[in-house]
Amino acid sequence: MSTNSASPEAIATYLHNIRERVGQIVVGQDVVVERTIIALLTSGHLLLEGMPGLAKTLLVNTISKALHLDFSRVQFTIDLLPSDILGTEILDSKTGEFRTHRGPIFTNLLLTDEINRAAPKVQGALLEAMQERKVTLGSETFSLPTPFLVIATQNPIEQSGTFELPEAQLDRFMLCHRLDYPTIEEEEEILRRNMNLGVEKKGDGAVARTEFDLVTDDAVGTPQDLIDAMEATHNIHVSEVLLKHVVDIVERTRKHPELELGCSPRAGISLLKASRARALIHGRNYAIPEDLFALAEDVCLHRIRLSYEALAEGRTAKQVLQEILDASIS
Amino acid sequence: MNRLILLFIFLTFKAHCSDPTVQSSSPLGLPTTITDLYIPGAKVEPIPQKNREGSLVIRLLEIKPAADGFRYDLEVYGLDPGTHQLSAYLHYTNGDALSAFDSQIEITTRHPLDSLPPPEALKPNDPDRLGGYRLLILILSILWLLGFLIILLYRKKLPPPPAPPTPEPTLHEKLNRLVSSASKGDLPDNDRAQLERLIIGHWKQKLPNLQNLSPAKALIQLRTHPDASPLILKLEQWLHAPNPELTHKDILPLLEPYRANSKSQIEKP
Repeated sequence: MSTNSASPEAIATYLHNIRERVGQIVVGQDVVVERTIIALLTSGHLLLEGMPGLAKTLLVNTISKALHLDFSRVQFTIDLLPSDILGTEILDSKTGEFRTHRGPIFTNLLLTDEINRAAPKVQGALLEAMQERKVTLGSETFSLPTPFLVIATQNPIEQSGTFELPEAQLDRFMLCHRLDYPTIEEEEEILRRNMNLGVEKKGDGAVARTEFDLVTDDAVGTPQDLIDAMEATHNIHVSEVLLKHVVDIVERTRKHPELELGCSPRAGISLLKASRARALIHGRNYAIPEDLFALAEDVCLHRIRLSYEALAEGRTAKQVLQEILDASIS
Repeated sequence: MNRLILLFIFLTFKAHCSDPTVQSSSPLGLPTTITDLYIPGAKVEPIPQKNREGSLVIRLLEIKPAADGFRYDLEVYGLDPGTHQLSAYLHYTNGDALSAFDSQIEITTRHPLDSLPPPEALKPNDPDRLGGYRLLILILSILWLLGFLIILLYRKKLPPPPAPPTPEPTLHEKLNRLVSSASKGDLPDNDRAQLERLIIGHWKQKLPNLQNLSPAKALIQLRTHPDASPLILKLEQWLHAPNPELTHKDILPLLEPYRANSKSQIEKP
């Protein structure tokens, strides 16, 4: 185990401050904030499934500002081209030479809205860059900034005119979290805060303020704090018994008769990494089964595929995974 | 060809004119219909052919009464080229020949007469075996009956019914085994992992408000539950902490209530 320069208390405070800062802007969505931090600490990528208007963009924007990270957002559409994301070489008419124009992927936090609306070649280009963390433009290869995190969103209901991500590409996402609507209390708080936003005067005019105006540029920590937290995540102890738990869950998904496709080894790796990060966020220096079970759905559900017979019987992947997890403790 | 058509029209015209001398033509092998052929006297009919040597085949299509005789519609097939007397192939119904009736038909062919290949001589084959069907049915019936009796008398004995499947050990039986092993201090990592999962499962089943929760949500509540948390938290420390202060000897007293011989005893940890 390598030594970590920052104390565990300092890291815990740093992570707590991030969540607190986000909580000042975004009401509820604690789990999404936690999952985003997990993805950030483990260099994974996050896929968010949820309806529009659940403050996904605001959340990512707030986190990026709180962490002093660059942030870009791309709305995926059918006519989007790989070069619109990755960048391209442009002929400079003044010099007569090609000039590299870097796309929005050259950032720390990239929010790709409605990833399933883009054509497969665009999805492929993005997912390849996510995996390799490099982009080749012309004959030159560029490394993406560090940290690099893609947070993709997709609408689970409206599927017409979309290109569903295949399992191999879904596997690139470390976590896939399904967003729920806020609770009644949270909804009331959202409305209450929104009512108090007021109007911002600009020059001779004025504009109604939005939640985005509340996002300030002052970060809760330094880039070094994030590096320390990432190192601390790596140093979280994982016992042999916890490894057995991970293997047991992964193995059960592969042997379940209603699943055509079980979890890949990458799923096991992701589950372990995410458990470490969750343990750190919860102030422990070792991962426990609670971390595994809390993250199992987000890590495993998008990686499994139901068999035809199970689909015909109206079963859902969530039901089957729940049965697998229940069976593992009985 | 034109001449043949003209000749045919002429002959038809002649037939209609009730001339007893009838002349007609027909291509070889193809049917030709002669209508309203007047033949005086009693009814006539084609002479039955008893061999294959006849040059014409005549079918009587219709007989219409006429003065002193009948008009006939005939269909004629010419089998040999040349001119043939129709009267040679017809006779009165009483068997008398048509000696006074002169009618000719010319069977034409496009080929020179001497170039036509002779018809292939038919060689009728005798059927191999006729009859004996009843005997065959009898033999087959006997064979079927013998086979049926063999199946009845010497049928394969069915394998013995499979033993009833060994019932899956219950959660409490599994717990009992693992706790017993733990007390001896020989619990491998796999069994330790299973022990921990079963303890979680046991409490999830035991507490009614946790039964319908997911393992994740149930575990969060178990870690703060006054009855379950002492063991759950100590198990976590024992099994997962990097330098556990606890040993299996510290855990054993907590596990002891789970080493029971019956479910009822386990349910009172």
